[in-house]
Amino acid sequence: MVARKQLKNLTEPMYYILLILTTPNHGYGIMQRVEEMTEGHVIIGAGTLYTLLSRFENEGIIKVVSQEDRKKNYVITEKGRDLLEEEFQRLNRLIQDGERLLGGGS
Amino acid sequence: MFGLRKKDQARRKRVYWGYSTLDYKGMEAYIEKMSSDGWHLESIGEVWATFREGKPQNLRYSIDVFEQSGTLTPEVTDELKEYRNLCEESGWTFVTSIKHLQIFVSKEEDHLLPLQTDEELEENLAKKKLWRKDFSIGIGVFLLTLGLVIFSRFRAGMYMDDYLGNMIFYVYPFMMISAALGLVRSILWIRKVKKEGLPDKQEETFFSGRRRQLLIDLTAISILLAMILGVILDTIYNPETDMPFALIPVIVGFSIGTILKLTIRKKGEKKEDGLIFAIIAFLMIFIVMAVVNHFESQRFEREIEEQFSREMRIEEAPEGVSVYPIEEIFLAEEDRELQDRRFPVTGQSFAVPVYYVQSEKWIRGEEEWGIAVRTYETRSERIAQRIVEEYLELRRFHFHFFTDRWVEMEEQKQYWQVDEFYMTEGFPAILIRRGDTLWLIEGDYTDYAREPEKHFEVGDVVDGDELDRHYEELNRHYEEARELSNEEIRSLEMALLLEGILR
Repeated sequence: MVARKQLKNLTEPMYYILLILTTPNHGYGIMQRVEEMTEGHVIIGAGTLYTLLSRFENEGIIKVVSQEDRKKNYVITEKGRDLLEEEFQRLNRLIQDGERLLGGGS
Repeated sequence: MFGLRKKDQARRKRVYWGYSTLDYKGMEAYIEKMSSDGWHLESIGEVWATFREGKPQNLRYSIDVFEQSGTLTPEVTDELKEYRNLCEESGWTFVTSIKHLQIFVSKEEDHLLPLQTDEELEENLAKKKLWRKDFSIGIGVFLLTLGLVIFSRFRAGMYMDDYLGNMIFYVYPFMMISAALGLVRSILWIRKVKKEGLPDKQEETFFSGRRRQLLIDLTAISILLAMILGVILDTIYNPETDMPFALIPVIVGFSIGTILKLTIRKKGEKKEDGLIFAIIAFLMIFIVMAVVNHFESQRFEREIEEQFSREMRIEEAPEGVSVYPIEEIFLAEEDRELQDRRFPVTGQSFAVPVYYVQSEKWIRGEEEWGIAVRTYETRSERIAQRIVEEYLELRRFHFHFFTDRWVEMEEQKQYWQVDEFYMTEGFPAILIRRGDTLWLIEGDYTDYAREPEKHFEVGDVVDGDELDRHYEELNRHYEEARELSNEEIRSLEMALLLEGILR
């Protein structure tokens, strides 16, 4: 329940993890990709990433597609994609509203 | 020879660790300080941590809370492997772990990304997972002592005449207070952390946590030592008591529990293994209890049998014990003959330095008569009073309650110049206290008044009318006994007997 509440609004790290998992990737790969993508604006420590991944998996937002040695490859599920889509729309609305009031002034 | 030493020749240092976990940030600071002094963390146990001597280094330690681990989860699960692997890939080296806490190290100049980058997430996880551990031992120690102390108050007499009982009755209350203090400190502290957040990464955090746990640890150790000391003294001085035997289930239960925990942690691979091992352990405890119980009841039966079929013999009194001249009194009548005298129980404790039983059997014609005198020479009047109170309660609630009632005998008390004098109505027993000494006399000596024709035993089926008649008779009997004058008492066997004991 706590996780569900937390997932209502995605934090930045959560958003980027899900975004990256639209293509399969493993833990360390995700960490690198996030840093790359955001040019170091968003960073995720290994402990935090692991906690988030296991919560996402429990919630059925991501799933394991393959496993080699100790590395699990995760990918976003249908449910996860819906969630991400929703979040994307929400963020878009925030931007649009912002632009209407602030962007017009410039 | 040196092969017995651990792994290598480096010097090692053990440091008292306690088991406080909510202040793990403080641990980081302490471990880092130790490293810069040339002592590197090797492992952390339940109570101690081991440091290994090496080159002083500026290292950065990071302690992380791993959500899916606990007391009854294997030490290394697939999930944990994956997690550690991820941490190692990002540059951190795994050092050791204790319960939920996973300890990693890196060189300071590497400036690695911390393991936790989301403070809120980290804090919530720590608060959710760790407070129970900080709380559990404190509450366990407190409840254990509280239970024993309360129980010992209700059964004071039972706790007076052996050393283990004395420890529980007199020493444990102090330990309960110290356990309560430790527990209150822990609770207040956990509340503070829940409200104000995790304490800072400072050495002082670690030290204060350790001080807090030391009180509880010392209490637990004292409780254990007092118990062991009591059992040892009882084994030496009171071999007749069952106390060491009674401890077997406790010891077996504790051992199985510990083995279970270690097995799960070392041998288990999956999270679910814990449950399977726990079920096996409970089954084992159940079986052991059943076996112990079986042998115990057999032993009890043998004892009873022995008592009934015992060979007649006349024993010398043990050292330091005076023989009551009961038989002289009864032998005054020629047709009575002493058959058996023994001292089946002799014991001692702090509260009751001398305790013994003189038990005799004699015949008169066809009839067999028996008598037993229990003597408690206690340390103080108060202790003797407690034992009297206990006997009065036991009679009332447990034994012979159907026909027996203690009656205070005022006349006799004054005549014999004793402090307390009680008799039962049916099954004949006299309880006398003079100062710090106490006698319980049971047996067949009471022809002092007309006895009721019938005695009921526990479990007898009795109809209402019969019961009414019985009570009427008992009441009459009791009135008669109460109204006996000193003159009359003196002329009776009981008087002679008491003279022998109380002179």
